[in-house]
Amino acid sequence: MAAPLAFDRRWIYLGLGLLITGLYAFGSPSALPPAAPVQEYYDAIEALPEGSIVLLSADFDPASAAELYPMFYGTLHHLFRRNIRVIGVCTWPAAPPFSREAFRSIAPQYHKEYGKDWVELGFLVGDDVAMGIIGQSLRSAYPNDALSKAPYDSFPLLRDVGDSSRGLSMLITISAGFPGILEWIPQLCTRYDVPVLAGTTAVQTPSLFPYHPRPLLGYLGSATGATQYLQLVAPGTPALAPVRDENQRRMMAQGWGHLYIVALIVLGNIIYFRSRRRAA
Amino acid sequence: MKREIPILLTVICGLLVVAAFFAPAPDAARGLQPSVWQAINSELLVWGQILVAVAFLLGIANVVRINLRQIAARHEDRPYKIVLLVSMFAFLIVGLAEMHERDLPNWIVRVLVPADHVFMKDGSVVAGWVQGATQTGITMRDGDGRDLPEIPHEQVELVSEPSAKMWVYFKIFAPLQATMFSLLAFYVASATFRAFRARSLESTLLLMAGAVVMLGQVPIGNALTGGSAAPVEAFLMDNFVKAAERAIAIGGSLGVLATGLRIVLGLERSYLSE
Repeated sequence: MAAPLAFDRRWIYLGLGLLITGLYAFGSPSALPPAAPVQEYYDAIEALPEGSIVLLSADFDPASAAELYPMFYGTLHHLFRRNIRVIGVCTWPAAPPFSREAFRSIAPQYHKEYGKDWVELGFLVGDDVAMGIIGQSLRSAYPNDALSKAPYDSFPLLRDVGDSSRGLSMLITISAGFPGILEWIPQLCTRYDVPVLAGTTAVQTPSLFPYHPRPLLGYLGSATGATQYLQLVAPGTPALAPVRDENQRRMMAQGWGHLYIVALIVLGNIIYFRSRRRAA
Repeated sequence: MKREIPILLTVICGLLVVAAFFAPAPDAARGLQPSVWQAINSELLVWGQILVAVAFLLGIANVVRINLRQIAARHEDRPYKIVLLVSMFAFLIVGLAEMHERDLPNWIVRVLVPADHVFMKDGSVVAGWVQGATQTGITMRDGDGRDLPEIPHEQVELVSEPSAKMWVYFKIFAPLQATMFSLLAFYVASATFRAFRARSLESTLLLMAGAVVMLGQVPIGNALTGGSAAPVEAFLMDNFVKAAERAIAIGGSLGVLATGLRIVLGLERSYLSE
């Protein structure tokens, strides 16, 4: 037991740091075959009729943005490409800048008009209580939009939703934890029969399993899911190709990081068994 | 009465929310209008939302109180506490200034809110603070609060609206938070080496499952195992993990239900510090 504990852990940090940064800088991106839930996520958006209204919720912050922002970015491209109308909301206080950045950069590429094709309602305080209010009535939750502060009923898109969230065709949440997908499901999806798609961090993904395939039609789990999804969307969306390539490069570096950790497990156990045998 | 009134309020609110949950949800397509239960529920949800918002303010007050006290007591970490308080209030002031730009005195706007720039198609640049856009053009103000002539949309090449709040967010806050989160990878690597030991059958199964899932998640791991890691990982996830997660979800939900019932019936009083 003495050997591994005496080992300076900074060598482990250095090894991992060099491996990941080196591969990220010099490695070549490689494609991943899409997993079934990712394909279902993609197919669910493809199956939406043009003009449907989707509530897109950014429920993350910068800590998980490396995993989740590519999902949000790709999903918004996919929705606008399919001529789906999008309402943006956030239940995390640090999420709106990401959401705004994505809407501002993507909507003009598809000539989408604010108020008619998309609306940003912004952050609503209250965690799962806020989700309950959104579920019951989007109008009560957001008397004004976030960008122009104009009244709810001044936007044709919001008038089409009406009072209840039954006017929504789908909820898509890109979720890092609480509040997120696990709160949206009881507060909005099951109560108002709104189908849901989710993108989540690797840590949270297993907690989605009980809800798949109903009401959760599909999901993107971790950076792997994000990369697989971007590979599906990018062929019809040239603007997404650099984001896909970037994610593929990250996945390649992450893959070797996984191998490094598995090797450390094996090495740690070899040292452990040798020291135990010696002690015996 | 100090105890009975909070319990009574809890019971009444709890029962009303439960009643609203079981009342049919409004549905214009089926002619279902919002019921009285939903109206009450809406009001209660808004109260709850206000309480959460007030908790944010309480949180700020608490952070200030605790850190000021430690700074005054010359705690060894006081430089960090000063940085925390200065950063918090600086970000708050910058954010509030941008939100309420139109209502603030001009000198505060000049100091705290970066000027916008409209780049015209003829190569000229108009500096000022964009107030909004009409059907015909962009309205701006100068640093003294005077309205500038409206700039027709067709003459505009590009509008640059820099934001100090966004600069702080994307250049300082986001990288710092991402750095903190990414440090986990290093801690995980170190912890697996030092603590992940096959000491018993259970820990051996755990570490083998962990290794297979890690290999199955990434293409290189799957390639090195001759394509066998991904199917084994999928099998573990679809059967063992899904079953365990369902059991946890159902068990947790029953626990929440039981606790909720106890609170609504006035049996659970731990929230009253009893």
